Amino acid sequence: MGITIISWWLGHGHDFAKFAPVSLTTAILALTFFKIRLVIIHFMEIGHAPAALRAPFELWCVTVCGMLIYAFARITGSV
Amino acid sequence: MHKHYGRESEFLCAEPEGSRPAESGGATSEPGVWLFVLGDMILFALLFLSYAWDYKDNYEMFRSGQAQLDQNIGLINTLLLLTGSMSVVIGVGHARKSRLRIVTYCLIGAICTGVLFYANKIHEYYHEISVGNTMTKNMFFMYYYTLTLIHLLHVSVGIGVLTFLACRLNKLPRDGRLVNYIESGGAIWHMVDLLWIALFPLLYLIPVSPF
Repeated sequence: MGITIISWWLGHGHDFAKFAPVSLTTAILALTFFKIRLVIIHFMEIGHAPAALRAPFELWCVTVCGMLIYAFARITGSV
Repeated sequence: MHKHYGRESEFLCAEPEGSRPAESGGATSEPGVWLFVLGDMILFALLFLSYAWDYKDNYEMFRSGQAQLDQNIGLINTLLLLTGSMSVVIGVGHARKSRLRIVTYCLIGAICTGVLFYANKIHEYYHEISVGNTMTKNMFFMYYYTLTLIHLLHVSVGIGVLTFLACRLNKLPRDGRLVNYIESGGAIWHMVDLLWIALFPLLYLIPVSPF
């Protein structure tokens, strides 16, 4: 819940002029997928599951997060 | 009542060997549930990427559409689903200890958060439609309604599954399968939660505007 509030605060248009938009956008996405991984590992209890079950979830988090960071870096003009 | 739940405890303790493979860890051992969850997550991932790609090509349209959404509603909905997920986690823990009455309360708690999410979303749709932001207005609102309506369909399925479990808890088989059912319902609910966790920043927060 704390991470949700931080993400909302970062994206709410507060005065973060010293940070580039791409950094803030990347930070929000990284926090979001960190939170999703926490839900997968602890709430879904995939943390104790066999590797064959855990691997697709880990792969999903890394791939989707990476591709979204790249896609939004294109939007903010950094790639 | 206590005697009744005591009897359920005995049934749960007499779990048939092999009904919950040890190698599955705490996670539900129903492969069908995981296939459904992963399949849906892949489908949503494709929609997220398609949205991000179209954002670049229609920057001004997406930016102005996003500015018309109320971030606070998205925040409240995220907190509601997280609370519901927490309630399900507590319920699964009590199911393993055969405390079925507490499990029912936890499931009802999660259902209530789902219903509040639903109400909040309907309120948001009503507001957007009343100011002319319908699905056909532009590509941003087409994505907004498509993504949130598909997600809302998942919320409906999640509420349905949890309601079924809460209503039928005393009629489900009194062995390890009961815990499996609760865990499976929980996994579906957590998927609904994590998809919204991704949708909230995508639709409401990012990309952060240049200053």
